[in-house]
Amino acid sequence: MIFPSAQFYSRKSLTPEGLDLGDKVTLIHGSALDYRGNLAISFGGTNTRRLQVDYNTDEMSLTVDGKSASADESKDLFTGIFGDTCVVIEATTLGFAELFSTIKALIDIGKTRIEVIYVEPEDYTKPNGTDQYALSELIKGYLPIPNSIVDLTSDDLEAGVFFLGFESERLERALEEHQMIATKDIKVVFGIPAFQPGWELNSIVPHLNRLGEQARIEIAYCSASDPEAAFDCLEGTRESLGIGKRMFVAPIGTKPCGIASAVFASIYPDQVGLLFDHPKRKINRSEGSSVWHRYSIILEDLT
Amino acid sequence: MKINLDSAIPSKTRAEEHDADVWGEFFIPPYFERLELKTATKSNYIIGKRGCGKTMLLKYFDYHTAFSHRRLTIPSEEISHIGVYWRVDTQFCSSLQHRGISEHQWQTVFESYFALYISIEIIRSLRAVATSAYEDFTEEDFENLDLPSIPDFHFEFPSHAAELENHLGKVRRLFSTWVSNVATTKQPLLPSGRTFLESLIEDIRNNPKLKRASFYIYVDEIENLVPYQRRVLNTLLKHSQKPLILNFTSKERSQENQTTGSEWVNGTHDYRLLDLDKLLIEDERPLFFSEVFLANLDLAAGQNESELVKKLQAVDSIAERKEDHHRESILSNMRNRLPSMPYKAFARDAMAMDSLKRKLEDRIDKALRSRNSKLKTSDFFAFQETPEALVILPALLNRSSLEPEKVLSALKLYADTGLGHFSSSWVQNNLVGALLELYRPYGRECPLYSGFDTLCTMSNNNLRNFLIICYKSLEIAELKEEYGSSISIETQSRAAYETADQLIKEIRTFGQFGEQLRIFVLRLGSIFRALQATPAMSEPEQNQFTINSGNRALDDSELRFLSEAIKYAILVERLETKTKGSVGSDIIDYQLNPIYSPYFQISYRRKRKLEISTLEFQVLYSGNEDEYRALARSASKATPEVDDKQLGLI
Repeated sequence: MIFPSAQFYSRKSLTPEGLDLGDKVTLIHGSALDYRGNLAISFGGTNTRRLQVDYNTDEMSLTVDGKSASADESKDLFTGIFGDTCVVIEATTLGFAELFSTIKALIDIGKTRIEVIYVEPEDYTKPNGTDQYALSELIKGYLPIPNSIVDLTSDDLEAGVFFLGFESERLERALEEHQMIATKDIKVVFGIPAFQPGWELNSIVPHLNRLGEQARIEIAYCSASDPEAAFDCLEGTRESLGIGKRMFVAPIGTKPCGIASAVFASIYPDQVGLLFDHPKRKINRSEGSSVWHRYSIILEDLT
Repeated sequence: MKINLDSAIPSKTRAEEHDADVWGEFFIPPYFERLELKTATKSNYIIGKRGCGKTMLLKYFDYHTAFSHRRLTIPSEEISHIGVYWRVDTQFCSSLQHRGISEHQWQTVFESYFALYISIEIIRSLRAVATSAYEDFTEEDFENLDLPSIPDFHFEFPSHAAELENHLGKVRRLFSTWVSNVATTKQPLLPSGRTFLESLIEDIRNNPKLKRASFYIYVDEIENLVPYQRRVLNTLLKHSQKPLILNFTSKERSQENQTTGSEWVNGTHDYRLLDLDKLLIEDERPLFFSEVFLANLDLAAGQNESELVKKLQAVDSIAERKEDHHRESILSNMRNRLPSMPYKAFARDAMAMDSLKRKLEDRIDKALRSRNSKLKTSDFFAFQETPEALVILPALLNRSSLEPEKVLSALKLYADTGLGHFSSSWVQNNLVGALLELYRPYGRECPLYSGFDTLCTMSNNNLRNFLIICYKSLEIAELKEEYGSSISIETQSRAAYETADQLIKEIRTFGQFGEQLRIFVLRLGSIFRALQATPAMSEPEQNQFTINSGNRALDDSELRFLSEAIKYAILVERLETKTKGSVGSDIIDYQLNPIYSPYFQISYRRKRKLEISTLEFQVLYSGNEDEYRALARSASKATPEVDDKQLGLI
């Protein structure tokens, strides 16, 4: 079956109950690092089945509920374990590699509807006495994720889209270490409107220097909390590709943009590859919790 | 300074901002002939840190430039060096491991990928030769180029060169798809590794017009490949000979010397090591940097054919560029553009500024009170004609070993006769530190960071750093509407600060320890600043440290961090300098790269060092804020009444 397009339906609430997902749920989650993470993985009730997913960057392997295999075989790891439950992906705690591997596997299994939840933070943490956010412990570097690998030296690679967040070094490092990107049509996307008024400056200001140096880069905006807007933004670039040409997506911004990127890379494997730098997220990187989101992704078969 | 600049101020300081074809944009470095790349009969391993011009050099040797459309005449011997520069996508290559496939299988895959990539490039290079001004091989010749042994590898491989290029392009696409989805797609048929390349080149050389063709492959980023991939390339390098020579390039020498067999590669037998940072000898640097800057100004002004540009682009002008009249004319041009003053003149200017004079009075007053001296500040300020002596008084008066009365009488002697302690050592030892400290609240424009020679020293012999300061100076001069022929000292100082600020921000992008390295630099710089800010300034101008192995040796993670800091030139290794009160057991001094000094308002000169223990080093690079502050206070011997802000701790 081919799924050439996806539709996103969003709902938000101040409480998890308001997401209206029922209780016959299998929750796919990662490790909780902060308050909202703990809140997010406790979503559901006593009937909720919980599956933890972890991605190993060095081995490119995936562990689902304690069982490991190469991430190339994500589909096999998920096959037959959901029964008749509603599968809900908890994106607050999942890293991007886990999120992509899971979404791709669900699509390959044949799911036509994917539910994703996400909890916004009240604030991100700044260490005492500094004005900079400290979100990542260590940023591993740009390393491939199976099923969406891109050869940056390929002549067919025509364009790239970066979703940007607070940490400008992530874009800078991509441009520094993978200098062949400089010749591609690059679009950077800021999350505007941001989760909270004023936060957009936290992402724009640190990037200004480098963007000022690279006149070729196009700047775009899409809502930080809206995967549909992010998906449309990606579609814009994809539609501009020449015949047989490819693009990459670097989801180094907000998680909702990461959700859109994961879906996008999953449904267009021939045209899209992922570029991701695998940050080790800091414990207590955010404070409190804010809005709960439910994103329902409907994959349409237009053939 | 808007002289001759009818277009943009040059801004490209990174080679990646240039296209693959850099013909007309590359300037021949003085060591060019010493490289002997075009006549090499064995492999070269080129190493060079960021900003040394390595990528531009490799782009110059690449076929896109050598057979550029912009090159009007191409000598016939050019065919014997067809360069292919391959900047490896290490991200993609790191996917060629694990994933349910054995390393042995991946080795074969990687060697085939190498052959696939390089054979496409070799055919493209011949197309470039055919369409360039090179006379002995035409487009028609390329169209007729036949490679009869290629179909022997597989019947689907065409023998016609252009068709083979298309076919291999398709194979590469299939290969990318397979790499992305190894579990669900079938591996395409790939050209076998070295044998395929050797047959291809043999066929090419069988064409009478290409019988002298030799291919030199320059693989960049070699140190970031997976170990088995380096072993595959080591094996290819070990067996390199004309007409196919494999060369490596990287920031630092790869530690992987094994081949896929039982052999090893080494720098004596298998390759020649070319360290670009060392090849550009100390004496040649100021001249070459100046030439590049001035020639880039010409290019930005549209003067692509200026005398200087032509001279810098011609290999046979190297000797002429070494002649005294050329050297002197360039250097005096630069000294006029980037003027400075002697340190004593800076002291005089400082005393002419009311705010600085008041600050100095306050400090002298405070020092006298803390010493319970009956002398008054005005007793010292009676000697206004020796500003260089006045400026260092706070430091001298805060030293318990010096009685204020003795300092005053020495000052009188100095003012009267020009002799005494002030003349013999005090001014010389303390003036720069004292001036930096005096200007600290105005840190963004400390005039000491000015002048051509100072900017060269601060650039730490790195071309990119030098160009950034110069271009920033031009930008600021334009903003300030300074239209003179030279850039003011204030503008240069401001540019030096902004360069330091930008380059410190850039540290975050230096590999996976980037952020840690940045914090390390901020901490180290702050400690040197705190040492300078201590009232007695007993050790002026400290900007180096050495690690004594008192408690324990450095562990693996500390050594790794240190080597990252050196790889990215955050720290500069130096042979030992003066070690105060030590038995001389320390071997290596690490200087904080002087390009960062304006950010901390510390000295750019290599003078004194701080000795730290391995434990203190650990605090510097991985300790928490409290541990670091305690270290800074103890290193600077700060008394409790001196607060962190006074020490400039950030």
